Amino acid sequence: MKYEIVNLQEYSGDGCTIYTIIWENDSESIYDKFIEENDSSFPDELNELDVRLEVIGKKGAREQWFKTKEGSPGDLVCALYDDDERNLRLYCIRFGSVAVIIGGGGPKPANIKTWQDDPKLSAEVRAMIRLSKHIFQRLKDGNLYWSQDGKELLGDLDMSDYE
Amino acid sequence: MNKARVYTSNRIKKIRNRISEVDRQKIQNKMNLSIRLYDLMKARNINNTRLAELLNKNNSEVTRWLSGTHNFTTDSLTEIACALNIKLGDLFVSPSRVASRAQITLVTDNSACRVYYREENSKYNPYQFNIIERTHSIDERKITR
Repeated sequence: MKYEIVNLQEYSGDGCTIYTIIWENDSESIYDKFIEENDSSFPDELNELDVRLEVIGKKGAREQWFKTKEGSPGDLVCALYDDDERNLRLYCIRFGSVAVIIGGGGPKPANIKTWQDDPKLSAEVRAMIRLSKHIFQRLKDGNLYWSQDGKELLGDLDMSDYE
Repeated sequence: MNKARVYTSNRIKKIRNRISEVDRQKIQNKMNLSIRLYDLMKARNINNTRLAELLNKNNSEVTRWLSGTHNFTTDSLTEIACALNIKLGDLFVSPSRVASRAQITLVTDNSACRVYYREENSKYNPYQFNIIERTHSIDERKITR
């Protein structure tokens, strides 16, 4: 297993299933690492993100709450909405309003216009783009599929063929 | 059929424990207000660009209003309400509650009472009137009166 998609119990709800990723040999998810990296500098923003993700789980991942088109065309990589007053950016893969895979992110320097201008954000976005491509390929191959209500990823979630 | 393993995060639990109920509600209310605003705009076929035009604002400002992160002032909410032709309070009412508020017309004769009502949304768009007709017994008519 190179990575595992796990269901984040604290956030998943009737409106949306919220997943994150755990890399092979890691005990914590990439969202946990995002928290760990930013908790000392931006605790209030992490508090806000926590409640926002909880609401998304209950009400659904409405497009209005995301910055779409952060990745490549069609890969569904996006960021949770942030404005100039916020320092943190959190990337995810949004499958309509019913499922989201939360990734990592980081502080968004005020002097950058796009994620390509910052090495940390670039690494996080590129990681999400790669994961998205891999998951889409798995869906295409039939190793992964959606539950009947479209809210849950089912199938072989042991992502051992990721390179 | 394999489902994803359910994962509980101690770091998330730690955050949960430190957020005050007031702060939690502040964030939830911003998101709920953004849902209401979006749904009211959609019901009136008003997109971000159109609302921005109506209020002489930039598109990006409307995007921020809808993001669920914006802390509105009473003045800006009043401007939005006027642009959408609604009352300020309608922005804070859940759609299901608004739908239950209706204009009711009673037409009675000796044997029956017909109730016509149109839901509040129809007030704004005459082509989406939702008129429901029910026939009541004479006893029920008395109670209704």
